[in-house]
Amino acid sequence: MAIPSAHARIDDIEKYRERVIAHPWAQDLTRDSARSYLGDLPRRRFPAVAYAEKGDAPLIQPRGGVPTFADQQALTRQLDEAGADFIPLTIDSNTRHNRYDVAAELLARSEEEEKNYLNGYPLIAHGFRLTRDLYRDLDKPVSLRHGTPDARLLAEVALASGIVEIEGGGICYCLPYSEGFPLDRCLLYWQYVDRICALHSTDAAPVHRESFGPLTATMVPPSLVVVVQILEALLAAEQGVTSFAVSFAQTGSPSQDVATAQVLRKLVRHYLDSFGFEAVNTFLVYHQWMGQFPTDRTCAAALITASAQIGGMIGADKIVVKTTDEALGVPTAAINAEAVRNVRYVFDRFRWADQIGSSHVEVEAELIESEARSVIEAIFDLPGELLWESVFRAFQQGVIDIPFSPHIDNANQLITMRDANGSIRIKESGNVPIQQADRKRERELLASREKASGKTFRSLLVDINMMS
Amino acid sequence: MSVARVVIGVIGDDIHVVGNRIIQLALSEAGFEVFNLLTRNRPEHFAQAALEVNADAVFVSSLNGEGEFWCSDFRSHFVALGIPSVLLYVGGNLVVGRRSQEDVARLFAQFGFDRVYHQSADIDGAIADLLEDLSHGHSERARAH
Amino acid sequence: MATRVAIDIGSTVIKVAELGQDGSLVRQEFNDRDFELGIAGQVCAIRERLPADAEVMICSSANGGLRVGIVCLTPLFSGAVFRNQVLLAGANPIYVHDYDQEGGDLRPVDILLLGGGIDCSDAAPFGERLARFRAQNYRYGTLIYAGNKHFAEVVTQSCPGAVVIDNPLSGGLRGRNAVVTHALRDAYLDDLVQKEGVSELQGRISGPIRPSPEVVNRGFHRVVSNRSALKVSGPSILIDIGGATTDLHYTVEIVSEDSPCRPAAGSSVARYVFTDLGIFASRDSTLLQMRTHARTFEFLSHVQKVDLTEIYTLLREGEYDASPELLAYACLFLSLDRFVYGGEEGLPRADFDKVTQVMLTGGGAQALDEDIVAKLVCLFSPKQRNEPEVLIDRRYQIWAEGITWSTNTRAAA
Repeated sequence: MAIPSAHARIDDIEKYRERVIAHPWAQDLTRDSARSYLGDLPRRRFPAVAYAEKGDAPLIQPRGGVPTFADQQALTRQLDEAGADFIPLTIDSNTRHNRYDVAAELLARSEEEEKNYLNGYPLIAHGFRLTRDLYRDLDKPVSLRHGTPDARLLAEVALASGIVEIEGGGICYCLPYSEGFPLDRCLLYWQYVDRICALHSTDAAPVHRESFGPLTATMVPPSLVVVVQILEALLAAEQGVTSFAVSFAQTGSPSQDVATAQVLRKLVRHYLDSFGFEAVNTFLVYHQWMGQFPTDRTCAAALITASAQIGGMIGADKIVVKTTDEALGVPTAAINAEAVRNVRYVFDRFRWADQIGSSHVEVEAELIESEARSVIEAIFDLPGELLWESVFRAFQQGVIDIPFSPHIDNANQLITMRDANGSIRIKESGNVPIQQADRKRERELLASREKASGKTFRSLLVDINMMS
Repeated sequence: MSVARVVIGVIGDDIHVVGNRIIQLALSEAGFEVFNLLTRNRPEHFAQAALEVNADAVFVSSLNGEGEFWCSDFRSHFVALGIPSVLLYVGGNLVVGRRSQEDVARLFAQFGFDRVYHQSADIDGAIADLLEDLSHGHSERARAH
Repeated sequence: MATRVAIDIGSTVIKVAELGQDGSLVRQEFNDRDFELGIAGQVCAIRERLPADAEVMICSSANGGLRVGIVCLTPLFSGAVFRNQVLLAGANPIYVHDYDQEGGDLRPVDILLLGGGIDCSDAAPFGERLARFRAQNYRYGTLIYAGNKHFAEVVTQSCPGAVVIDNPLSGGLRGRNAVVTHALRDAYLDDLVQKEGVSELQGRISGPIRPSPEVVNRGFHRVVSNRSALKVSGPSILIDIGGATTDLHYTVEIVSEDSPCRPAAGSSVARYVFTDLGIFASRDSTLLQMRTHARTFEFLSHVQKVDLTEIYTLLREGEYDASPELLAYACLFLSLDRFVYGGEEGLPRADFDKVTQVMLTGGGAQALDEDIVAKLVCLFSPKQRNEPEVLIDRRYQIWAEGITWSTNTRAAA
């Protein structure tokens, strides 16, 4: 039985940091580089400040990362001018897999040949000094977007660069992104990231952590998203993080989105408070449709607008936007700026006084909450002194089972399908401990759809590609 | 007669899992016992797995055009293990560049495949083919080898 | 609180360590084995000297580890699952054969492990192979059958003494069920009792006597889980250099993406054993390897400061009387060579650039020098900016961490 608590905190963190930044790719980074720099960083670079100052509408964050400094600088400027509230820094996949030498080689080639050989910004190859210059005159937060199982050095360099929102987590950056990286080690490495974020936080200017709720972005049932978000919030809180955002992706069903947002907010607060982490501030982030996007630009624009509406309706604190080129490849800065304007238009024109309630949403929310509670309580009851051990065990036993995860140890027993309303339903729960009444309810809600379509796999193909 | 057993998996360095899981589900729903080797497989993985489960058929997927590189001696791996007559199917995006369906089908038939589904998403059709082929017994292609 | 004492019965030394509650070493002593007194007698004598209420844990490699021969259907599935489970039980796979291996194998093994296939009644190719199998072509103590359950009778009829256990292979073909590991841990104890007469010890200690390699693997797992006083900061390998064998323990994320052979399901650390590398019993095979290796001169130039060409010539001619120290360097070099360049059956290939730590432990490692080890390690990552850190465990702390670590987190397989 694991009780989340500050006892899990890494105790000898400074010695541990010493070892991590002994890496030659840390270059001249020291343990104090970040601390001295963050002390003078404009307050508005901190997400907690941006969130505190925001009005009714969600803050807007586009996506983007390109290999060279010059291009990243241009992109940053364009996104800033377009009205983005958060500036993204997406990291290339070689850096994500700790292949810093390869990233540096490909960066050199990209610079020489003026052609992109990397799918993001190689932060470690560029180093923290140069990266600071990207954001010299910026007065909004920069968000690190990556997908790295072992992000210890990356997080050190990010903090020293003045990037104080770190996305990721031991579960959400392992199961969707990796085939073979062991989850236990990923959880331990993320303890380190959480710990150094806490270490560089002050009450007024906390370093912010954000979990990645979309996971595989393919038919993940909202209750499991809620579970993963709660676990990562608790794991971060254990290490002393005080500013944390949970997130989820547009499900494809507006009512399910409303219900998911309600439950997510409620349960994250509930579990943080019940383990003594009342001091942790939480925020809710909504990701626009993360699945296959329509290739037709008009349809893509419509999807972006519609999802902005939902983001406003659920009262998200931040929305991460897509572009009309999503299905076509890496968007240009101009296309990115266009997406920001699209969403900005919606937020400027509409007001969502209160969340839309209906019996339909209530039923959905009850179901998600009940399922999420059963799973999370079952995980607390698993053997293990510390929460991360129970999380690891839960994964080994299929208690956490993420549809379409490429990870070789994922159980793949849970099968989902959309009901007639487009909501994601659990058709078969595998080893995920959901109460019988909830399983029955899921099947009832699914019945209308199943009769109409026959084979699951055919429906699932339609479900996965519902927007394209 | 017991349930027919099918080995499936992705060949080469391809890590696309969505299609793989859908095929698994489709075959299970059609009543087959499915053994999923997931991603990053070589021909010997398919042949040895077919021996371990005494498979009736093997479904190979490749989405990134690596199929041609990996599959050229596919049937011979099964012959070497003494299971020459397993039905061999291959589908996905099998070759790099634009080539006609007929050319690709002919090429993979030479490699020893019984059915080839290049750039086709017709899972139902493949399952119907499999049921028909199984009703005839084993692979026709095997005899040619 | 009662004193905790860990005892490691080796082939030449019995190590006794007094431990703190957190597994830290308080004190340790080394006793040469007293072959007249026997293991049981000597350990009982040691036990007498300890406080009556002391918690005593024992592991052993006295009988050199259980030798296991594997006969399976395929090397990539049943063979790999068996091999991985044997390794995680701390035993030594001596060979992995298929049923049609010409003439069998006459190297003696304690256990011949037979199996393959999933549980299904219509498995003609497997049945035919089993029918062709001749147990008399092998030399073994016990035959264990862990294959397709529908064919167990075929085995028990032809080999009446055969033990039948559950089949570890199921749908995923990855062997999530650690039945073979469990069976071998039990068999290990039986073997020890039979060969060394330690049965009277059992009642006087806490828990069963465990195989030493399994304990070291646990210790390694604890270290890389950041739950130990020993600190590492990333993907690591541990090489345990002994007299008869060299054990390799590694974190599974260093396995190269295109390695055809993969570590066991569900486990984040793995073990491999080189039964031909060691500084005493395996001295000759280790030297033979160095004689014929293409990089022997390069190796020697880092290890040997004087008379380099002379020693090189003698070594090549098979006439050099190598010191245990040189042999230990050779064990390190050869293990890394096989791990990085592949070619050893059943051993996955490592992406060595990912390794941030190389740890050494065991009797053979004690005399080694960190700087020389670091140079040898660098031979395997020439382009890398990140040179792995070298850590020599001179107090057998990893072993102590392993014997005192109890956690349920460890993977089942």
